[in-house]
Amino acid sequence: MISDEYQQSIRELARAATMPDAMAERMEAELQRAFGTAGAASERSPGVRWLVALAAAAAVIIAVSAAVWFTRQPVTPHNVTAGPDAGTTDPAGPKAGTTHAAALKAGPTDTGGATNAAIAPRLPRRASRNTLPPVIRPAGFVPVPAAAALPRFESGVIVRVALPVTALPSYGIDISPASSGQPVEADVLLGQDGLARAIRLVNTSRSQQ
Amino acid sequence: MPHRMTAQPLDRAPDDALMSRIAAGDQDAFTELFRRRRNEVYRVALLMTGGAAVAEDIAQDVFLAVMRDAGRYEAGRSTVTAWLCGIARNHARRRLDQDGRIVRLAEGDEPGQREPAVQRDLVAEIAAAQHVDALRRAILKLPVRYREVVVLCDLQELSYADAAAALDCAVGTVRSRLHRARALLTAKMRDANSVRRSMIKGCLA
Repeated sequence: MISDEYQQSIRELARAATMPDAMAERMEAELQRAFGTAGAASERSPGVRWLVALAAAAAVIIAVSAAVWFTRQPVTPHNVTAGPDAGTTDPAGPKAGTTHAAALKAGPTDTGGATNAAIAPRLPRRASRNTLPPVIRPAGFVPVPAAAALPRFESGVIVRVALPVTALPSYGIDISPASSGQPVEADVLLGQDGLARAIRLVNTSRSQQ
Repeated sequence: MPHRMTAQPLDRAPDDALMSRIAAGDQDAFTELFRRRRNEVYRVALLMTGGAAVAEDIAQDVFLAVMRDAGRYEAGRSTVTAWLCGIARNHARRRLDQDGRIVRLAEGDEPGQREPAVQRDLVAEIAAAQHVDALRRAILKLPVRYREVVVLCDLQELSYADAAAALDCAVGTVRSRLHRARALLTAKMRDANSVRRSMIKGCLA
């Protein structure tokens, strides 16, 4: 198929179709100028890239930690009121797990069961953060001892959790030696950094139910 | 500009190594690659588009892309030449689309009116030049999909695999298109030769 004449002509054509020297010199000078201009940026870019990568990794770690922390909380914040009667406005006193599930079903971003299980728990929580009242009244709270060393409280959320009785002393609440090992419900005031600032027991008798 | 990885002299460094050094900001490596591969890039652009000025623009764009995206070159996927030719081909196709697929050299222009892309003694090789010129015209008249395989496989002598990587298609597609392209070229060249012979006869009559 390929004749000698064709091959020879192809070789001739390839040899002829070369970049003229003047064009090559001009283009090389322009490209070197462009490289020099971009060079400073590219010289810095590895460091910048590392910084960006580190920042991204830190952001991911923080986000994942926060997500894990939130999803492990037994009660969603929007089921908890900041007022002094927080513990009594919920007479049914549902268990943490069922309360959470109910909150998910009622959430505005629910997609009818198709929501990713890993993402779904966070969605109503974001909405509830946005709908928190601007002023809360943390009456009845006892400051957590460790909070003294934390940054000043600016804003936060109250979450209801079930704590083992033996954990209460670490929150500054004395317990009797005869206390049972059963968990008690408590409202924990979390600051803007997610760290506990104060705690109050919700209703000891109901918690025992 | 600090130069890293200077263990191997640039002129003996393979293209892959040059690409790594360019990605690390080595301007000398970039210059070496430009000097080493500029003709391949320019050839693809020139024979795809038919215009020296357009080919110059495309060649410059290709090396600007190298400057910017050297880190994206994957050594195991194709050769650097094939990668460069692929970029040149993409730019050429874009220019052809923008210009309404007008191929400047293929539409009735006379050899004396063209920009001198060929730097050689035409007087001594007039006969061969006529044939080569006819071939160039024939290539430029091929449909783009056939033209690019002739340019890459026959003129650039890329392997089928490299041409396939440059064109982002299967090797079998390259084979079949090249087969068809050569058949078309043969027919066009035969026609061109018969026209030339009849013109010569007419002059002698």
